[in-house]
Amino acid sequence: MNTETKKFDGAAFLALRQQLESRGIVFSYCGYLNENILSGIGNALQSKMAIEQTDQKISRGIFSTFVEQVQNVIRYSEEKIGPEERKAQELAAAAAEGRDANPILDDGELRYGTIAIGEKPDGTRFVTCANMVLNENVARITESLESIRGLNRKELTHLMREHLKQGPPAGSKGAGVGFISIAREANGNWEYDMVPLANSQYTFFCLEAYF
Amino acid sequence: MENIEIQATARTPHIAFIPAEGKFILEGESYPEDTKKFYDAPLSHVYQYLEHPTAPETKFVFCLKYFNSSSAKVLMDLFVAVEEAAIAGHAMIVEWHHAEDDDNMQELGEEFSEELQTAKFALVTF
Repeated sequence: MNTETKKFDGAAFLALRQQLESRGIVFSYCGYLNENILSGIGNALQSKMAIEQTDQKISRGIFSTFVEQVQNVIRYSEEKIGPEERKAQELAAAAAEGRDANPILDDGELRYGTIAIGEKPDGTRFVTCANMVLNENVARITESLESIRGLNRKELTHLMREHLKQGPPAGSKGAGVGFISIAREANGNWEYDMVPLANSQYTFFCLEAYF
Repeated sequence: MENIEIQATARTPHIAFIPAEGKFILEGESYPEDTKKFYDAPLSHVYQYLEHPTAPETKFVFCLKYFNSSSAKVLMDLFVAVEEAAIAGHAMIVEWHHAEDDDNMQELGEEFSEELQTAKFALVTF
């Protein structure tokens, strides 16, 4: 094939795949997420681990962390499109065109996140998840994670019960124990990073758990 | 009071409640899309029952392979209500089943059982 007339170059896409592979990534998703995607990827992940006869304890930990991580994205990622965003867009478009706004149907919300599951050369498996958070929330999330750093599974189990009894903090859409649950499953082996974006109200928040 | 029978799905557990026999079963995996929506209706019957338990003894059987943190909240609230019924003088038994090699699930059961002082608690392996 004459490369000069080639309209689509698969090599660039292959390079993207190879980059993921070079990092040991076996499963990855980058884009808008909802509960159906969680079900789909979760199902494939469980099948993959069953086929490979992954140790039950490790596979339960990986799956559980995957679910908590993806549900964090679905609940808290600041990059979202839902009825509210589309209503605002429609109102703006209608105003610009001098017409009445059309009604917006509530057909669900999507939130953007990145998830990767894989294995490092030393055999350590990882579940990594990232999403944008508002700069103003970075301190609160950091504090929440630092407060559980260094705790082992037993301590985290106890802390989880205490938090469940207290009830979720303001603004939580779940039980408010997602981070504790992830840290617990990973037996305290996890890291996080906050990557500020230049001239942006968002920070890229990454959380990685090891098994 | 009517019986409750909800079949399990990939993400939600089997729920059975037989008030006449004083038996409640929660079995399988629990990470519903909407935890509140899934549990509110069936558990409202259970909470109503716990106000005035009719069976001489009520047994709660938990046989879970996996549950997410939102479901953990549901379980904790239920344990608290069971303990309250026990304190009010009704015989309450909680059985926490876990796979023999699943010490993670065992530890969760043990931790949650800290809520139970008057109600009886037993770990059962499968």
